[in-house]
Amino acid sequence: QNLTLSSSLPQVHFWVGVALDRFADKVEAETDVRFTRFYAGELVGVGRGLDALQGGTVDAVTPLLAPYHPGVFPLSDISQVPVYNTDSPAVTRAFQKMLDSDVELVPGKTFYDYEIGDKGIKAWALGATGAYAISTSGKEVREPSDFDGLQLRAGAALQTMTLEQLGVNPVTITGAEIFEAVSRNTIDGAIISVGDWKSYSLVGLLDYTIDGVALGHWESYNAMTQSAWDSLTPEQQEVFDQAAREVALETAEFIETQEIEVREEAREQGAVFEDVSDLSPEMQTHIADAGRRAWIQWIEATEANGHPARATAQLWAELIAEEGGELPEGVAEYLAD
Amino acid sequence: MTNHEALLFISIWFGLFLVLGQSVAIVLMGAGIIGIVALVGVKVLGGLLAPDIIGAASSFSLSIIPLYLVMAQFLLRGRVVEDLFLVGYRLSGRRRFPLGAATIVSGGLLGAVSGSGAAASAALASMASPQLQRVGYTRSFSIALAAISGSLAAIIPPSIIMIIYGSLTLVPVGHLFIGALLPGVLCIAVYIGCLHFFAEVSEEGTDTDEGIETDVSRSAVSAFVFVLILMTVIFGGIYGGIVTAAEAGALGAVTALIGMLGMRRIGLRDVFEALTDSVKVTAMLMFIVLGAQAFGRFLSLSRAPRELLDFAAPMLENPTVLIALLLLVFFVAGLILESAAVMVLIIPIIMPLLNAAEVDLIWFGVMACFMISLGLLTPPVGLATYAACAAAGHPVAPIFRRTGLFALVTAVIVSFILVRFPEVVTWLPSRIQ
Amino acid sequence: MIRLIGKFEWGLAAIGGGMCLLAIMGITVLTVFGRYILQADLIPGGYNMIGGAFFPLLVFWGLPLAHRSGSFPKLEVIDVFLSKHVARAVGAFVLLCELAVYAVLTWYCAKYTITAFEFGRQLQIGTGYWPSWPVVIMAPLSFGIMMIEVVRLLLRDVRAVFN
Ligand code: NA
Ligand code: NA
Repeated sequence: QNLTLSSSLPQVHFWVGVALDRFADKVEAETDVRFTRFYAGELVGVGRGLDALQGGTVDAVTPLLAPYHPGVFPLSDISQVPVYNTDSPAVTRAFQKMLDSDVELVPGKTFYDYEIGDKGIKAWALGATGAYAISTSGKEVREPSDFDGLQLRAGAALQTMTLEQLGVNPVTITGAEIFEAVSRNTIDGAIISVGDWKSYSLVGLLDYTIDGVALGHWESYNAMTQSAWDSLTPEQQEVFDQAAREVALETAEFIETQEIEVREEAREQGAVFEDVSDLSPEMQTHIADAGRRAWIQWIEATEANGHPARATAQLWAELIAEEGGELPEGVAEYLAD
Repeated sequence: MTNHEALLFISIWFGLFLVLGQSVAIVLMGAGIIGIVALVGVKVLGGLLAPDIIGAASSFSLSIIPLYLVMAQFLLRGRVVEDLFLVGYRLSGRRRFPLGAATIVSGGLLGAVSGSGAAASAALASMASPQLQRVGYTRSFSIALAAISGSLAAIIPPSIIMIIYGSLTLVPVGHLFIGALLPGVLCIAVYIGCLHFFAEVSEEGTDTDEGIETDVSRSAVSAFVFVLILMTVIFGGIYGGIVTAAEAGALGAVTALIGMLGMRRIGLRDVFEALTDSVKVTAMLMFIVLGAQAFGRFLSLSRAPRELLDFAAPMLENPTVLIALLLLVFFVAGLILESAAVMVLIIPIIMPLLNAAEVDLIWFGVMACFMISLGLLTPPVGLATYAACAAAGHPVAPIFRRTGLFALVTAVIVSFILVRFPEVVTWLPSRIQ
Repeated sequence: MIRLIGKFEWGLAAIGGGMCLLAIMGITVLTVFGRYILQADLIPGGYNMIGGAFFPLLVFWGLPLAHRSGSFPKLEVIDVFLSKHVARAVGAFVLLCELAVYAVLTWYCAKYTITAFEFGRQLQIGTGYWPSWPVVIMAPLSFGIMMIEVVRLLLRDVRAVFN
């Protein structure tokens, strides 16, 4: 049996070189399923993954980048809310539990049913990225007033919300453009995970980072069409499911290791990593306030569009806590109301 | 169909419809669709065609194209290229060779503030070629020289084709623009050298033209100064790290608009027509991009890029030979295909190869853009030559002989220098950071 | 009728497309101005507006006029070798294939538009969202209008062959 598996990212990216390839290799080793692999968007470009699956163009897509399908995966943004003391493996486990959870967000629908179930696809969590941290170049951010007028790159919509709450000017550019923009002082820094610095040549350029608080983690899906899934034998399905779960955690470990290495290399080049708990009390309050307001803003905006964002946030808050993460002060109270 | 059968079938289809005179974009789109269906069936089209079309049309990096087009439109409608030529006319003392060289240089100057070549060629053909004849060049050679000078707009940055290359490879467009500056100057020098060796002089021509007194008006000088200001805005802005290539395009377009309106060189009607024309040309280019993208999907499905990589693997040891071969491919493709189509078709296929050979993508991109842009001058499809001939009302065949010769000589000399001395390209961009 | 369509195509490109181009220029210049002079983001989400809305609108509104005015580059070598009659017949055949291509594009883009509408596809604009269908619907509209033009050219060629 032959399945086509497509990625919009190149093999050097961990969601391809680690997640996609290890998954496909495992399945090929244990079943007679064979994958024809397409990399780097040669068949399906960024943000066109769901169309390719639903249109029957390919059988599987890794990563299926939910944030690049605006309006289609309204609740999957939840991994982008600000949290404290999390890392890639913790968020990956939390997201896997989220997908497995039988808590109904609306009557009869779990998180998986709501986000994945009605789309004609089968999906697993990938390894989440490391924490998206506030990093700057040539400008230390120590007091709330330091945020005023600061220009920082944001990727996803939710990060933009958090930055605005902090008093920062969010600038939307792609990861590939960060180097150019920072090195020319077009922007002062970026919201990005430290592990990604290497792929975007930012080691030695970004020199100050606020640690310990994540402006969320990017998480994506490893997805295949329901029809391809249904064509598998129960034994094959078991292998797919096992492989997908194991590889997600392996990818998370890989990401975590990479993050530690990059951090070490950046430190050697003079980069400062300041833990949020070492900042002034005013600054800690300012960041926590912004984080809380971002949660509320996202929940209200998403509820206004008719989606069960509040219930999703409650579930996410529980799962993050189970993994040892913490919420910005006041979020738990807001969710309990 | 097997992959190889499909590739053969589609190659024949492609060649046939191209020769039958179907527009390049439709040939690409049609061959791509048929090829995909032949390989894997109709079902894959649903998830591929429309998302690709909407996705490419929603590309921020390609949205820079109309900015550089409309900037050039404002300047052309403000008759700036004619004034640049007039300044050169005066500076050359109306002597033959200096005037020829001045024509090339004024084409280059205009090129530094506009993105594509054909329109400048037309303007120079109707304005400059009579003056060139007066100082003794033959009519054919004068028109050819106008086409050649105008086509520099595609070679000298900013260039539309570099924007497309940047969008395909994620190389910053600003770096490409800066990297192409020195090669652009080199190209001007080689053209002037060609002018020295290949010039055709008519019997009755005189070396100096004392007949008509054309004083350089104040307005011509102000146009010249304005172009210098605009160049500073664009390249100074990019090189100084103040703005991105997209922002430089918008600033340039707005500066050109205000400047041309302020100098009363254009009216509201011209503004309107400049906008319409830029929209039209952008749509035309984008349709080629869409067609080439569909064709590219067929090629990916056929696994041709992978086979090419395997086939070329032994050559990775010696990247110079590989690069020289690839540049030749670009030149040959530029003979028949529109430049945007060449770029969108070939780059995705050879990207794995370039990555495997660890080629500097700025260096390669500048060279590729250079080779493709020469296609504006080469037969059978050379849009700059077409435009110059149309403006002068002259048959194309004799002009192509001359523009083709210039293009061939320049291709050999400039690509040799750039391959041998990559610093000519890479030195300036490395200083941006 | 044909003339009316021509006027409509011109209006789409000149007025619609022209305004989009002005908007792209304006948004970008204001962004630069805000960044350096006011230290503020004057148009939040401007980047998304250009890429997600103004540029595709410009392209799809410009296509029919670009097509009608014959500015799509093509190889013109065959006509020299053919009699006028044969050339027209070849032209008709080429146009028929072209019509098929436009039909395929119109069909799939229309289907895509319906999906975008049904499933509430959106454009991310800064921290907010716009519905995507008003932009997406221009693709099938554009290709559909181009089909009409191809049919007109086709009829002209077919008539010429049989006259
Ligand atoms: Na140029
Ligand atoms: Na050519």
